[in-house]
Amino acid sequence: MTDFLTVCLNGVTLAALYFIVASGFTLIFGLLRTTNMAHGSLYVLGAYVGVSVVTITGSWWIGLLAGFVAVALIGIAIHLGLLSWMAGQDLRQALVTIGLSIIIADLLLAHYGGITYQIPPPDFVAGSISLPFVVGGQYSAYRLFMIVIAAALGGALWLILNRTRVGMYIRAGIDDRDMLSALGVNVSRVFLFVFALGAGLAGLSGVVGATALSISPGEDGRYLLSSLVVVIVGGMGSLGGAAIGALIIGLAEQIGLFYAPTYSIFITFVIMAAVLAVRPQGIMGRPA
Amino acid sequence: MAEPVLAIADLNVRYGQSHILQGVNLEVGTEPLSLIGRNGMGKTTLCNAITGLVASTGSVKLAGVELVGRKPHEIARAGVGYVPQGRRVFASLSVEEHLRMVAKRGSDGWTIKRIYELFPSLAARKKHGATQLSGGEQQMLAIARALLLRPHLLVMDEPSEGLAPIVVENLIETLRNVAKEGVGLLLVEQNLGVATSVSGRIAIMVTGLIAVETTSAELLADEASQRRFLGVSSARTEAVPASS
Repeated sequence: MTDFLTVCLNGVTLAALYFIVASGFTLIFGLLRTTNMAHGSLYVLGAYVGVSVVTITGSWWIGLLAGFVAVALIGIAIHLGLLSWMAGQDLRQALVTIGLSIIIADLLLAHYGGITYQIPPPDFVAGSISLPFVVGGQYSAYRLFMIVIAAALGGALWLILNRTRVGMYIRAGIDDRDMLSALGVNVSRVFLFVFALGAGLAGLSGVVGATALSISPGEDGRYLLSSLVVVIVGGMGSLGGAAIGALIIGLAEQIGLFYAPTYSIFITFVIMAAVLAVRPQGIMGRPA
Repeated sequence: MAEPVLAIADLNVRYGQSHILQGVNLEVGTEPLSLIGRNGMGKTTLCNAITGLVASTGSVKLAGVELVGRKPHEIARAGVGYVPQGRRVFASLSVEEHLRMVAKRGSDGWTIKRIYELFPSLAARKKHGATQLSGGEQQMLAIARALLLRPHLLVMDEPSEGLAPIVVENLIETLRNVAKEGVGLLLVEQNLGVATSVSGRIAIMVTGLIAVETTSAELLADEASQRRFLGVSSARTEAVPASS
């Protein structure tokens, strides 16, 4: 029984990380419908920025902020320099961002080398917490803290989308871009803001993930894939969907890894295929 | 003489090979102007050109300020309110959000409070999603959000389309009230009854050009023109009271 509970807790904390990564992806891919295949690279970029800044400043929080800000700025450059010139052209966007992710991966390999880094967690969650129902009676405080981060982030994004003027612009702009611009709103700037926010969240999630696990070359593909699966299973553009998708995928991955390690990855994609077959728009998605 | 609210001169729009607007000249003053014409004559394209949603060449001046070449949001901020064909309310927003999103600060001109006084049925449905409203209410919402821009000119594309006759009467009343507020009104209509009830001046569009400018009274009396330009006779429109 403790085995199962531990595996489930691992699944939920992994789901928290997946949600944090996918929240940015659901903004960019789900809401803006911009095919950004460099999302995993932005995650890795944020992680390395976090590694450097935490090493220099010694503060995890400054590292987190730096990961967000640096990658948000890079997101602005990518959007203005490349993606805004190919709005609505999925294939072109996909190819350009795949190219970009290769360039980013090589630049990072040149600068940071092939070694694995891990960011030390902030002091107050550095140790472990005693939990009677898990194996060994101890559980990483930081992994539990990730659930708090995911919940806070999800809540904050929900508030932005549903309770602010910018949120109204975003929803209206996605419904009918031209009509919104005819009401005096600079929709290009609103969408640039959303892209920067989504990219920044990828960078922030890189710092969070590099603290929980580690960061090394090649991680970009893993997080791009997990974000794609989470958003497709949960439903494009839905925050609640991303949360549910992340939970399903996180739990399936950990349970699979423990009870049927050979088939772990297989299970994830069986779930995705099943959702696509039964409910193509995803669990919380609106029909296109 | 003061500058007209809207002055269009030699306005052209091309989509690839086709020449949709072929040198439109039109002026709207403080008195409403209705633009009528059959389907496919370029009426909606004219609206889109004024609001900057399609690229055009020529001149569109709002109280003397050139609009051609400016972006839609700049044109809206300059004072052009757009009520598009098919209303185009936002499915993801509630009634109140539509209004709050556009409303400007200050108590001069149109405010959300005044909008609710003008359209009590919207006030009763503040929290409803916009697409839950009836067609007439959606039309009121589309007009309301355009008014909250505090525009100098309202461009309305077929507001009566798809509305029940009793709702259309209500709409005519609303448009007359709006025109009395000093907002310039360019009303694009297929419904001759609505056009002639709201405005005294009528322009008729044929294949991308203003073919005729006339008055409501003259057009109502001239069945041959009605048939020629609209394919209708006034027998169909008598149900709607003419402008006094």
